[in-house]
This record gives sequence, structure tokens and C-alpha cells, in this order.
Amino acid sequence: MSQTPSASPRPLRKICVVGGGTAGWVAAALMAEHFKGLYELELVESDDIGTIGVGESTVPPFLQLLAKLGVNEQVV
Amino acid sequence: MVETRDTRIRKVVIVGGGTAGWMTAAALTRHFRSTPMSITVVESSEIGTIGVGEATIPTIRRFYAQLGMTDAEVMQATQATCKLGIRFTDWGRPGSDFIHPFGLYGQDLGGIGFHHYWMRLHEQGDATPLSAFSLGASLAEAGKFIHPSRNPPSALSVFDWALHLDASLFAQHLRRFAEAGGCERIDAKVRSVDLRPADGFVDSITLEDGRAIEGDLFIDCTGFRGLLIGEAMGSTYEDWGQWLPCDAAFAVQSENAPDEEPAPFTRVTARSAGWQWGIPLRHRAGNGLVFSSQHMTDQQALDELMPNLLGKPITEPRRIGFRPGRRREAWVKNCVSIGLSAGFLEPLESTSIALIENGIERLKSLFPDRNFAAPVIEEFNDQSAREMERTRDFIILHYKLNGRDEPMWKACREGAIPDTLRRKIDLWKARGQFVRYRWEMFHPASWLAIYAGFDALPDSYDPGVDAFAPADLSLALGEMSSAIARTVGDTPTHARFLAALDRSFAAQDPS
Repeated sequence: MSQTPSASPRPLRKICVVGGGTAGWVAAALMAEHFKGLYELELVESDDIGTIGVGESTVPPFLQLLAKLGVNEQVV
Repeated sequence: MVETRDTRIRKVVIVGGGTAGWMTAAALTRHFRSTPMSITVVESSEIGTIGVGEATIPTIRRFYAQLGMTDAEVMQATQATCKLGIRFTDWGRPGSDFIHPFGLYGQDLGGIGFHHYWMRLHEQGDATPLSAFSLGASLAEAGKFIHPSRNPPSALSVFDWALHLDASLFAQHLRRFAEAGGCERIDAKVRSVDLRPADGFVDSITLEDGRAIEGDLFIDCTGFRGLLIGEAMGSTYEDWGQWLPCDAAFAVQSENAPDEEPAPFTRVTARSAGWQWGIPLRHRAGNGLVFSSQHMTDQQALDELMPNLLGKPITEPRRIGFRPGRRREAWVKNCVSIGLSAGFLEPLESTSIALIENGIERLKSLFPDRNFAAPVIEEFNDQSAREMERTRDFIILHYKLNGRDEPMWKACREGAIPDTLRRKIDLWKARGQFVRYRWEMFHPASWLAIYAGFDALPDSYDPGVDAFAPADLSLALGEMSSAIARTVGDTPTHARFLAALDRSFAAQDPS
């Protein structure tokens, strides 16, 4: 431990999200919001691969997630 | 589960009437008021109590509020002063000084802990201390006191307070409360604990005058001795001496410093093989030295203690020997231990009375019937053990991080620590985050206070912090520390707060 913490000498440079279903796009959206352009962020998905997408009921923390992303729940 | 017969506890016998005994008696009397259950305390006026637990943490105020007591009432009854935290002197290295407040530091931003921003501020060359972002620590340093806001407008206004109190007066106050609520008191010494031959449950205790006191549930508040839980029930003691070297203390009462206002904090000052406490009460001060008898003779301990009292001594120093550790099973059959009989940790973070409170809360929430169901006892013992271990780890942290040169301190710095603590320190070092466990008495803000107070900061701060422009960060944090400084400036001194309290007592009671 040190007395003068600094930015990490080996910071991440690029984050790649593989898969564009619900998990992929929620993860990408949250990281884009949290890191505000700090890292290069890329999502790879294929139109040829279907997503599961049957998770249609949520728990209350989902509303907090929307709020964090600045998404209006009326619109959703 | 159909009730076929009445298996409720009819009689509780509390053995021992020190702080633990009367706190338990008062709380159970209140909790079970207007039920037929009877509560008896057996204590001997010939047996002294330890009663040096004079510094508390804020949970004490919740404890007596449950009994319907106000802060003002308890402060008047116990010659109390206000406590905003603990001031650690000479721990990180000789000359170092910081306050561990009851409260938070700064405001978290964007889901990232405040301390990461503060570390970034330091990297930018701004050396504002962490305490400037804590209202509790800043008030304490300035010798000021005010009640916290009931509805704090932001995290910056969040702090809490506890009491420095005369533990014997506190026990007497609780005794009056318990007796007024129907609790019976028997003044006698215990000759023997009598077990039922069939199942080994406590049947009764026999007093020196030959009387037998029967009960359904026995609570051992006999202190270090553990007369029931240890001697009669055979619950063994897990010794933590390998991590905590101190095994003795000298306690001595003194006058307060003649020209000094009472500090709104407990002083703990590192010494060559231990540490000294200083606690200002209204009518006197409490002092003591906790030390390692392997590294220091009694005479050396007294030589370090006595010249450094808060004022002129008014009692002879009293020696108390102890073993840090815990009872492996705090509850066996129909015998529950609360207080020192359940375990002991040095009073570095003022945890003794809080451990009593939590033992009582646990007993209330898991209160048995005469079936004494095993899962209830197992849960109580698990919670008790975990809570003691978490508290132990927090105490060990202070020894592990010290930067002093004497042999005891060096050994503590270099020695092994429990895995549960290792994991916490490792994550802190690697990422500036806090491992959380169940039944922890000390939350992340307290861990942060100690890490930062010992200059034990992580290697790097949260990468998300870099999303803020340096100028914006300086501005935001500057506004936080200015807001706190303004509040401190507007707050009267602790002494004035106490004087106003005295005037309100005098107005109520002209005698």
C-alpha cells in the first residue's frame, strides 16, 4: 500500500462486449454511462443469431437501472 | 406445529449485576412487560464490577431509547459527555493523529466511493485531509457538538454520536428501571450451580445462605469468570492471544484537566507496548493503559500511564488481567452468556457495551421456550461467533497497520492475521474496495477511517474517477469541504452544549 495512490499504471484501453442480446446491450449501455467515454467500447453481434429474449418480467431494481441510464419508464 | 402445552419461559435468572447484568435485566423487563414471565438478578454487593467500560458507540443510544429513556435523562444520570469518535495518536507513527468518527466521508458520485475521488485529489497535489470531508471528524477536532440533523439533506450532514458515561452509574440507572418494572434483585454470592442429572440443564443456583434459586433460563453475566457458561456448562474459551498481544490493563480515575473543556472524543494513544485511553466525564475522567505483559512489566506500565493522565489521579490504579477471545458456545442448553462471560476484546474501539447490546438483541429475537430448540441455539451461537470475529478483525487491523518501532509493534506488523482480515486488506490494497461480511459492527466508513488514518492507501484509485475532469473534481470536493467548515464554524462548543443541558436540568428540578 502506498501513501500516494495514482491512476493504475496499466489501465484498460478497450472493452469488447460479445453478443447483443439483453445482457450484451444492458452491459454496454451501463458501461457507456459509467465510464463516459473513458474506454473504447465495442459490441459484436450477429443478425444471423437469434437472442433468447424471453426475460420479460423484472424485479423492482430494474427501474433503478432505467433511471441510472436516464431512460424514461413511460417510453419503455 | 400445534401448541399442546404451555412451554413458555416462566422465570429468567440473571447471574451477575454489572453493566451486562443490569442492561440485560432492564431490556428483558421492558420487552416482556405485562407477560407473566419473572426476571431475577442475583448479584453480590461484595463482588466488584469491572465497570471501566466508559466509552460507547452510538448504538447505546438506540438501546436506552427502546427503554423509553431520553439522551438528556441518561446523560444526567451517568455524568456523561458527548462522543463523536475516537482520536488515535501516535499509531501510524509517533506524531500521527487522526479521528475515527461515527459518520460518513464526503458524497459518493456516480456509484463510486468518495474515497476514490479524494485519492485522485491527492494525486492532483491537493493535500486536504480526509477528515475535512467528515462533519463528525471536523466537529470533534474543533471541540464542538450539536445534535445531528434528523433529516440530513445529504451524506455530508450524516454523523452520529455516543456517550462517555460512568458505567457504574449507568448500571444503577438501569437497575432502578428494571426494579420499577418488577425485576427482583437478590444480594447474595453463588455457592454452586446445580445441573439436572437427566440432561445437564441448569436446574438452580444455590446461594451462600443455602437458598436455591430455580429458573427456566439462566443468563451468565458473571464477567471473565463465566461461572455458569464456563465452569458449570463447560463451554471452552477460544484464545486470540496469537493476534492480540495485550493481556492486561491498569485503570485509574483522575480529575479532568483544570483548564480544558471536555473533549467530544475518546483519546487512545499508542505507547511502547500497548496504548492508553482517556475519557472525559462530567465529574472526573477515566484513564487506563492496555499493555502486553510479555513486553512490559507492571511498573513500566504504570510509569507510562501515570504521568500522562488527563488530570490529578483520584484513585489507585487497578490492574485487570484478561485474555482476548470468545466463548466457543455462547449459549449451552438453558444457559446464555452475555458480556465478558461470552468473550473479551480490548476496549480500543469501545465495543464492550455494544457487544452486550447485541447479545441482548439476539436473545430477544431468538428468545426460546422450554423446548430450547437446537436450531435457535445454533443460530445464536453462530451470530455471536461471527460478530466477535468481525470485531476482533477490526481491532487487529490497528495493530497490523501500525508504523512504530518497538518490539511489540514490529511483531504485530509482521505477524500473521486471520484469513478473514487478510482478504479485506488484500482487496483494499488491490482495488480500494471493502469486503463485507454479515454481523459486522463496523461499516466501510470505519474501515476507511483506519486505513486512511494509518496512511495505508490502495495502490490505485477507481478508474471510473478519470471520467471527471480534474478541475470539476477540485470544484466539487472543494464545495463539500467548505460546506462542512461552515457548519463547524456555526456550531457551539461541546462545553456550551453541556452547559445548556445543565440549565435545562436545573429548570426541571429546582432542588
